[in-house]
Amino acid sequence: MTTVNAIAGDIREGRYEDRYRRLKSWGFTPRNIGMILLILFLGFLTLYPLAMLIYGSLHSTPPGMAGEFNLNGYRELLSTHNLIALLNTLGISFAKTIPSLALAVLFSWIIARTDTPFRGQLEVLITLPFFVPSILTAMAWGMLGNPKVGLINQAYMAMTGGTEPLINVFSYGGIIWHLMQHSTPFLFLFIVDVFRAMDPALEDSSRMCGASRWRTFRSITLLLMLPALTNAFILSFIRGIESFESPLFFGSPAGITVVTTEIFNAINYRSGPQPDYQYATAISVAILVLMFLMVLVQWRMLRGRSFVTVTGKGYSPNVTKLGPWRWVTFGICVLFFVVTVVLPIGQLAVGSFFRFFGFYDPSMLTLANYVKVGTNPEFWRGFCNTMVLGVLGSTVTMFLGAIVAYISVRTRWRGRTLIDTMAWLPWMMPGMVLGIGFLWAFAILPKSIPIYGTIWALFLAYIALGTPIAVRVMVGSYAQLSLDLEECSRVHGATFFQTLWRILIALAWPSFVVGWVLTFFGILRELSASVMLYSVGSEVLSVIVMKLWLNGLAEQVSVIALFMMLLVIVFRWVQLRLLKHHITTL
Amino acid sequence: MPAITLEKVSREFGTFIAVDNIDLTVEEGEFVTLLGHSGCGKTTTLRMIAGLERNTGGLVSIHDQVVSDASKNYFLAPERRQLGMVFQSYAIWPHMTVFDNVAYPLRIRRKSAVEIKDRVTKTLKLVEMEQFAQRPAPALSGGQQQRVAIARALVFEPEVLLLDEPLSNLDARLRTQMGDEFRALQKRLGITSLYVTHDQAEAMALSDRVVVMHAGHILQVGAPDDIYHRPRSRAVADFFGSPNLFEGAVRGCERIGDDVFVLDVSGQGWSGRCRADMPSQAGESILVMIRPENLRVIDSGTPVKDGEITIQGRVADTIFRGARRTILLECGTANFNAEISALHPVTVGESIAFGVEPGAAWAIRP
Amino acid sequence: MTRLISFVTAALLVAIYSMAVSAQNWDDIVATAKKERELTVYNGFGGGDEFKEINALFQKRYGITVKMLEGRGSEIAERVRTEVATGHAIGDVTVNGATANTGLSQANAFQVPGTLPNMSKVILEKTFVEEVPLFVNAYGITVNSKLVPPGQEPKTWADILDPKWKGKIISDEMSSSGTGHTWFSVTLEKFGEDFHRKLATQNLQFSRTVRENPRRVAMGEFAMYIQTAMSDVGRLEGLPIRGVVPKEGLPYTSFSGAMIKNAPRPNAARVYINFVLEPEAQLVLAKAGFPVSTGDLGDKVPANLRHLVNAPLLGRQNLEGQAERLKLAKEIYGR
Repeated sequence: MTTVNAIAGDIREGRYEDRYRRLKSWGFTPRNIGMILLILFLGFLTLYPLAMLIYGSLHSTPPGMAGEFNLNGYRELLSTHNLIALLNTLGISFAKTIPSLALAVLFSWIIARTDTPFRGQLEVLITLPFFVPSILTAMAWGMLGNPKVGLINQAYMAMTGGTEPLINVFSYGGIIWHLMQHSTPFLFLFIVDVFRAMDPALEDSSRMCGASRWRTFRSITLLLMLPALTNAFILSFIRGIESFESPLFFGSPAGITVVTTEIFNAINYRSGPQPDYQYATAISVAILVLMFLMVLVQWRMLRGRSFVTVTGKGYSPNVTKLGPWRWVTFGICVLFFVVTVVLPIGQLAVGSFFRFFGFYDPSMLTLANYVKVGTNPEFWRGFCNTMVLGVLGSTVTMFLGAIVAYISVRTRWRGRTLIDTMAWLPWMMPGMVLGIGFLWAFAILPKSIPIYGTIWALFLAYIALGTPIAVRVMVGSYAQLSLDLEECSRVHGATFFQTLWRILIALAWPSFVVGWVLTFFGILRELSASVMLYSVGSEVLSVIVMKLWLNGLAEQVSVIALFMMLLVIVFRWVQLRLLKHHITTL
Repeated sequence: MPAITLEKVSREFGTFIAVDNIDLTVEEGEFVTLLGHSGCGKTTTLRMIAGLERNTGGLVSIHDQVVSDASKNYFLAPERRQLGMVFQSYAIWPHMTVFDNVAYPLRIRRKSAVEIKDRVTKTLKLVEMEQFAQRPAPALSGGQQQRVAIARALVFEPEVLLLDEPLSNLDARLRTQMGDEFRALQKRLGITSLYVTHDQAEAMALSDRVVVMHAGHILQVGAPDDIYHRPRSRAVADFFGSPNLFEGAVRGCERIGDDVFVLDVSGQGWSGRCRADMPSQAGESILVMIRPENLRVIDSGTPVKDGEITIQGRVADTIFRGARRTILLECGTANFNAEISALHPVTVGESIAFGVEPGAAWAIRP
Repeated sequence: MTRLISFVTAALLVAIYSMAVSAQNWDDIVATAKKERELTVYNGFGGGDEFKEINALFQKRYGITVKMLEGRGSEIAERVRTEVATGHAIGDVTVNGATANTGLSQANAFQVPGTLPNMSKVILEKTFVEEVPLFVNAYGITVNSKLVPPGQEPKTWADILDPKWKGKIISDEMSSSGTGHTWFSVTLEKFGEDFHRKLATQNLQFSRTVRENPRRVAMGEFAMYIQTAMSDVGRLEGLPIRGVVPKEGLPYTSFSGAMIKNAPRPNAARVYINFVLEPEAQLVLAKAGFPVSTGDLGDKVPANLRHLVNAPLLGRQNLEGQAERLKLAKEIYGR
């Protein structure tokens, strides 16, 4: 029997050998074909919509309409007004990212490296603000920090007898503060596992060399984390530049213009009944180029500096005994949680039981908002669609991200820089414009490729939008895993894919899960592309929230927000449980 | 003046006692190895001396200076103990070059640039790594990383060097080579070293004294030769190789020197004399340890020496090992093994008689 | 004379014949529409549930399922434009504000719906040929009932220039297109630049969150909001605010329906647009506080809303020259 098989095998190989060799001589190895397919797929998801936008920025009319090619869009960029908007944008984003990063590092250290009580619970709580739709926290802070009637100022004035408000959210400070609430947990999610996964000997050895704890933190821990930190910094900085709700809510009243509000104005009939897409896309492309330069600088700076801090040996991270100070760190975390979650979400929670948000007259107490949401079939349909899209979308995205990250970090294959770059692109485009890019890209396809108007349009857009984060998370995680672990597996007879699956995914899976959660909630929140691509029957939750918001039904929006918070807590709890289980069985 | 003194040192993790009330001294210039299976508390002991772990009981002193006293809640931070340490994973910082890694302790001590350059170069020369000074750390092989780690630990001339399984990540050949090199370096510099390992061969080859640990306790402290041939307990005996342990009863006891006794013992199918470090009463039951390599085949021609233990066994299996041959034997209900010259022909099923000199048989209290 | 008589007779005959034909045609259209079974409406009007209610009524009457896709005006418009431009028509009808729909008309994205029976009832004028005006959103004043006692509220638009309101007025952003700018354009045309120069000295607080502003007035943060969509007044019933209509009337934006070019279900589209002009559909909108395009609905409208729904209309924004006006607003209000 074995002989027969062997002979059959010989024949099979013999017959195909020639052809295979010929294909190979043209470069058609399975690896190259795989790379080409990957490049095509990523290109379709990222370069193609981007190309539509570049077309839009160079053409006097949007795709499908007669017009001419010119540079008017770009010419218009060169104005003092835009320079101010750009400086505002960069300044605000910088001003929010730096303190957010500092806080995120502090929290990561507290959670991963100290004996602060209840840090398991705190970890969930600290990350909550990331998951609350920013429009809701904006609404809540508009009421809390309102200079005239805001609760905080009223409490402050009542306590001190002063007449000047303590805070005014309608200011630069307000925008920065509001953005920080979102970016701190975002950065924390990126950094905490880097802290957790670091080989404690790297720090111990510094102490043995005579360095104090603080010196060790500065010259070893932080520098080792530099690649991860700059990665997270850039992601967050770019997100800050693209933020829209906070500047609209808190900047407009103070006359602060930023790039995104400029784009919004251009799309919204700045000059008569034709939306100015040429200008809007030109700004976005300019931003993209700027961001891309920044990423290039980062790449140059960190060339060859992806540090392996996780070795094959299992260990638990260094935990610093803080003594009585642990209650101080505990207090800091709780304070953050109270300020960023309890205050705004408390507002939403209370508001959801009243007829009108913010008017807490006992006679207006009602459950009607809950009933309305609960009996709204659109809400449930949107919820189901979002869950399906979210679970499938983030799973596919994470696998794609894992593969792209692997190829870009761990191989010397040709084209690896290209795919890494392509995977960045969607992150660098302001959402509002990217949504239009997807619409143009999918709608212009021939009818035989039925993407536009189907749920696939959302699915593909979500993958494209999630890939940057997925790749960054996985790059960070691979970069820390020692190559030996993987080589060991290859040596022991595992194929490339088995290795990827068994070793990398198995070891990198805590990061995979973090990435999954980030992507999942990214999908849950995504609005710009959703509103351009959803079709009747494939409504998603974010679109429903937006509709309710546009309809002035803030109270129902609060109900959905609370529901989403619940979802977040359940997800995070399950995730951390899984991780804990994983760690104890390690 | 001992370099390191541990007095009744304990470390508890909740209800789990990792190190239980141990006493130990390491003399100046001595190479002492803590040997034990994983989880025996050896690394915890080392880390308590380093200050990376806090002892929950007892007193740790380095050169008569108390660095940690649990009863007074006194604890000196690791960076102030002036110890060099080599970690199992080497902990070479990947964001620095070899030079920067080694220079780090000197920079911490704010030495001048000239002095740093001088001393780093000298130390790198010592470990034969001077040509790699500007290499980024991630571009080093395991053996090279190990040398850098040693250089880094030595560069500021610490009073004591602590090593946590520094060779365990290397392959077998390199391990022997690096071990020998390190021992030579240690002797040359005369630096007090405390070394943690689970590898008994490594411990015997390198150390002046070996400390055998088990479940948080010290079982025995002694020179490698002592520990190997004169274990005080079955656990220690078991640690090295696979000794034969025969149950027997004491028939007589004779003192032949300070703490050296000769016992006349007999067991099932064998009898003779063995050594012991404590006196025994007639009738007392003991274990006699005989290392397999000390069993001598008694041919029909060779006479049995006076007092030699003789034992007969039926060959159950043989394993050819090149230089030696291991034979598994059955003797009544007991099994034992012997290592004999590979040239000696053996067939399975044949019966062989062995003799053991009294000096090679050692009595252990069961 | 006979020639004249015969001409008139002929003309009359033609008129009668054509009316008969159109009536005949309309029945055919309705019948075909029913066969089309469903219809997709692209709705860029961010109202409440009014159109859900209208769709339900339509469905009940004709048995045609309405699928409605909602979004912000500009987003919906771009979807319509892209679908037409790429030949991917999914939508049949779009309901949107005047600006968005005018733009789509210019972009050749609409088709004329033909003769609709209810078209004759429409009293609002069209801005583009394919348009069917459905209702308007009119912008008046809301005042805080405690800060502005009855009788103290502005009677005319000029009253908001009274120095006593200095720092107490919240306004929608006028220097970017939207409600605030519509209001700016109309009042500029009617009251002149001087009106705005004076208003600029009142220290207006600008905001772009239109839906929030009446609530901020209700909170007592401001005494009045000068561009309140009148439909919000009824919706916020229970809060301490009053809707005020200055006697000159209210600036407004008209919302219209239009049939999308190459609509896959053209007949259902026509029937739907016609239906929104039916009294029952118009009443849904009026009850929500929107002045409707077929005129006064009499006492069917709740009494408390009647003065808002039937408020005199001051005018609407002329889309020509918007860019200049935006610049002017920026300059006057120092934004």
